[in-house]
Amino acid sequence: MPVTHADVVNVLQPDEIDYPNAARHLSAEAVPILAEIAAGPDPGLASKAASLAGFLPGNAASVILPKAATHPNPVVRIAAAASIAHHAELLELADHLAKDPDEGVRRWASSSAHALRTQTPN
Amino acid sequence: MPNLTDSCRANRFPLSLRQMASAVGMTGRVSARTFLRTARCSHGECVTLHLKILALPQVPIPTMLVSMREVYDGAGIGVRVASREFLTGPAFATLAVLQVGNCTNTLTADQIQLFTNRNNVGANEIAIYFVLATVQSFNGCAAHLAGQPAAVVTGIASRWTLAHEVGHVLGLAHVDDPAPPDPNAPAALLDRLMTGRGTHMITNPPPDLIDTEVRTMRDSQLTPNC
Ligand SMILES: [Zn+2]
Repeated sequence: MPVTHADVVNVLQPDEIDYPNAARHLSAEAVPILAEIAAGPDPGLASKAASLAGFLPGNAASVILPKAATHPNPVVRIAAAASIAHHAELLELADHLAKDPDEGVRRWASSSAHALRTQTPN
Repeated sequence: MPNLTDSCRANRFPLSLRQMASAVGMTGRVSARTFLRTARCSHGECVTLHLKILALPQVPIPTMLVSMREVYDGAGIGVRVASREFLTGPAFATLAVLQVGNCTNTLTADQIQLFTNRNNVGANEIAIYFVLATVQSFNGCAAHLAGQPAAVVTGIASRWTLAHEVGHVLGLAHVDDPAPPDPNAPAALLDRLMTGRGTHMITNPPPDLIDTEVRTMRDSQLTPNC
């Protein structure tokens, strides 16, 4: 069954999303919709899309997190910065967010970048 | 907009102090201080909250309190706000984006550190921490240390999130878990406070508590007589 925008919004609505379980069952078709929501006007849904991206396999995080990383609301950028910790391929984005104007974004981005550098052999 | 007064009833009706005092059985001259300290609501039981504010949510806290009282009134449970405190400074600026992991009973160092702030919180009373955001992103999280009842409410919370999280603290679980996209997801129950599909989605405000939920809440040691 095709995944609709409304389906993906429903996944993101719970007050306390079970992220690992949602990621386990989410279809790859949802990824571009999550990217759209991560750039969208609702900071609650956008930040949850960014958090969910941290749990998704494959290149989903590379599609979703760059959108969240440019969101005007720092809460969404914080969620993106934190999720990068699970994705070594996004180290450059973490370094970029570590220079964000918002202190919270910088802190979480620096923490993710540090985690990735200590996990990844040079 | 109602103000943040402490009586169960005071937020619900635009009455004078004398009328409010009279409504809760206090007669003669009543100062605001006396009223707020001693007023008793018409409920048999009350839950007592202490608000610890690190960041203000998008939905104003008074709106969340009024919404919570709308639901808890129906269960015969009054909602008292016994204190409110702004937690500021560099340490709290860090904790305002609170690492909660997956909001399980295994607490993070951030949660443990934040929950040590229990000024004025008596036994069987609940501390509510209003934070900017959690990582991962949640509307709220009711995980807390045993014997130190508490919940976190974030900046993206709905008007019903406070009532929902306190419902968890009082022993309630979600009524329609697991949520989609889990293939075992049952039909959503969007007219219930304890829906697991998101309190932003509630369709018939105020949302319902069924009898068994009310019994659980009233049996909790966190809802003593008031
Ligand atoms: Zn819940």
